[in-house]
Amino acid sequence: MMKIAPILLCCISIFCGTHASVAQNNKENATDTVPKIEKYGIRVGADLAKPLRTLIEDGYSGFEVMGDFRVTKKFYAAVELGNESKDWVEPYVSSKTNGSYAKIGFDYNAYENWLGMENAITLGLRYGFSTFKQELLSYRIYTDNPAFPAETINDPQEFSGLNAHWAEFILGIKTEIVNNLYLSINVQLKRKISETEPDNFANLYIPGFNRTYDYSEFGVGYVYSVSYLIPIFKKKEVSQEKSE
Amino acid sequence: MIKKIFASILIIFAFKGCTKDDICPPDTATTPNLIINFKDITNPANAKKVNLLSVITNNIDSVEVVKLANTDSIAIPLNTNSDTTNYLFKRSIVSGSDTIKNFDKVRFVYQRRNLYVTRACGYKSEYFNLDKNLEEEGAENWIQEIILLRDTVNDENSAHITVLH
Repeated sequence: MMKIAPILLCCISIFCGTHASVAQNNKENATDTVPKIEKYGIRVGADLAKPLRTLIEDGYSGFEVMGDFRVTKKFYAAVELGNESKDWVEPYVSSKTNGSYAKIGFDYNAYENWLGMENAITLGLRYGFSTFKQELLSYRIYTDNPAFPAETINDPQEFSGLNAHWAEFILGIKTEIVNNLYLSINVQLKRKISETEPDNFANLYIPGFNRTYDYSEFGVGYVYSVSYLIPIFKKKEVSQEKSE
Repeated sequence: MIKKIFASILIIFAFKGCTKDDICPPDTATTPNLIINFKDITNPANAKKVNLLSVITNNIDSVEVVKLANTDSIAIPLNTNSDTTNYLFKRSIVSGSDTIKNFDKVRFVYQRRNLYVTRACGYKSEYFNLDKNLEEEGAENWIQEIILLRDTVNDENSAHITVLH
């Protein structure tokens, strides 16, 4: 009973707090007579980080293009398409992966813009799918005994027709830098749903998913992109308070 | 809001750092060793310690894998780069200021199979169709007999070989 009291107090204060702020918003909207114009359209873009990595990083090449379509005030249907090739070198194994991927899902804009601004803090969900091939370039037998040091075995084997599925949560920021041109950055947390594993080997890298972990189904990623909004129509947002 | 987002980004990248995937954990089942136990020739049911046992790889750059141990059970590696492993089993009996050394040559022949373990550990070898051979020296041998218990070496749960002496 002693513990319930502060919890209740906390709940009440939160409720009262939000209620107060809602009331404040209503008041502001009621006095605001300029209608908000919201742009709807298709936004197309490309990742800047992957071409840059292609130039400066050995053993990597890739690109990603993306598009989104504003469905409602807050929701955007989104799709990403990409291709990656990556050499993965571990002390005991080295491999090369290349393939294509697609991600489809939606973004939710959690940011309330000021009048005339088109920025966004987005929360997104995606379903990701990749088809790729992986080549085992060389490997060593693990040994911690100095009696017979392991030799590197160069016996390249190619595993093609591999695929992987994952779910992805995206947290991102979009800023309109000039009219209809956006700069975005996002971080991605992915969870593998399924994958086809090569015989007597594993997928060290999955295009679109990035590196895998032996003891976890999770992966991470990021995108730094520039995109352009092709406006299709504009919607005037009429405050409900005014009609009352 | 912005602060929260940066905090989340930091958390994600902090956990991205050091994981079990970066080093091969010592408890991982990698290439198994050959387990040998030593028993009494007069009563093969009884374990008998070798006083003192050394096991040395019988090749150019020889390595001592067991050093002057008073033991009845050893775990020794098999060569992962070849289908044969040659060892010298040395018994050193210390009497007073003298040490009487006796070398017996043992050869293990097998086939290998390489299996993927994890990204940090790479591959391991398993051995099958294991066979053993003791070079006969008549009365000079301190090893009387080698008995093969299991011809597949894919774990270290029990002995693969029994040596009677």
